Amino acid sequence: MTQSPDNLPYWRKPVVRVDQVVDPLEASVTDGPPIDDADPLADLPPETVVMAGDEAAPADDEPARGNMSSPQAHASSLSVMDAQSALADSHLRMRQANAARQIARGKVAQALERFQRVTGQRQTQADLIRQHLASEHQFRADRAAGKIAPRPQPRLGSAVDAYSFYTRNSGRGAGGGRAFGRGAFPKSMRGRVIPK
Amino acid sequence: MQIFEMKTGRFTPLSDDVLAKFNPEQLVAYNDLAVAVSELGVADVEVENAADANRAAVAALHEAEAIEAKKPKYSFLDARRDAIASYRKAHP
Repeated sequence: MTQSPDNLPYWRKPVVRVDQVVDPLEASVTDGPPIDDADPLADLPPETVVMAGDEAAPADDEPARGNMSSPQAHASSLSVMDAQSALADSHLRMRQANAARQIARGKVAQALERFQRVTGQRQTQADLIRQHLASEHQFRADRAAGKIAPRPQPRLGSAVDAYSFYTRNSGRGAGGGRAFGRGAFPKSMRGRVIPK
Repeated sequence: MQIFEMKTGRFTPLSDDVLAKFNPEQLVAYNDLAVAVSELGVADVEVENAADANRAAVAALHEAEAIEAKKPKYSFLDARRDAIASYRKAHP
C-alpha cells in the first residue's frame, strides 16, 4: 500500500523547499486540483436536508415564541451591530479630534512664545497673576449676576448616600470634620463636588 | 497689548497702526500666531462636532438595544425543541 504525502503525519511529510512554494496570489486557477462544483447535499434524501429558513409552521399545540430567522429579527440585530459600529467610529473620530487639538494647542504655544520673544513683550509672572485675578473677578461677578449657571450639587437622599458620595474617591471624608485638616481645600469648598 | 487670551482662546487682531510699526520678523511671528489660533479654533469645532456625533451614536445604540431587548429571545430550549422537531420530521 502506497501512502500519498497527504496521508502521512506531518513529521514524515517531505520537506518543501522555499523555492518550491507557489505564491497563491501568482498561481493561476488551473494550477490546483479540479474544483468539485457538485452540490454536497445532492446525494442526501431531500427530507433530511433542512436549510436555514425552512422551518415548518408551528403546530397548534406549540407555544408561540419569537422566530429569530424572521427578517425583522435579523434586521434588529443588524441595527444593534450598526449602532455599535457607529459608536466605535465616533470614538475613533473623537480621539483623532482631541489629538489634532492637542497639536494645534502646541502650535499656538510655540507661536505665542515666538511672538512675545520677537516683539519684546514677554509676559512676566506678575502679568499672568494679574490676568488670572481679573479673570476670576469677572467670573465671580458673572456668577453673581446670574450669567453663569451654578455648579450642580449632588442630590443626596440619606446620610448613607452622603457618606458614600463624599468618600467615593479616597475613602476619606471630604465634607466635614477634619477632612480638610491638611489644608488642601479651602473652607468654602465644604460640601462641594471635589474638583478632579 | 493683549492679543490672545489663553483661557478663552479669544484672539484680538492688531490694528494696522500697530502692525505698521512691526519689522518683518515680528510680522511673520504675528502671522504665524494668527494662523495657529485659527487652526486651534477649527480643531475646537472638530472636537465639539465629534462629541455631538458621539452622543448621538450612544443614544442610537441605547435605542437599538431597547428595541432588541423587547424582542423574544431564542433560548437554548427553543433551539433544542427545534432540533428535536427537525429530527422527528426527517425521521418519522
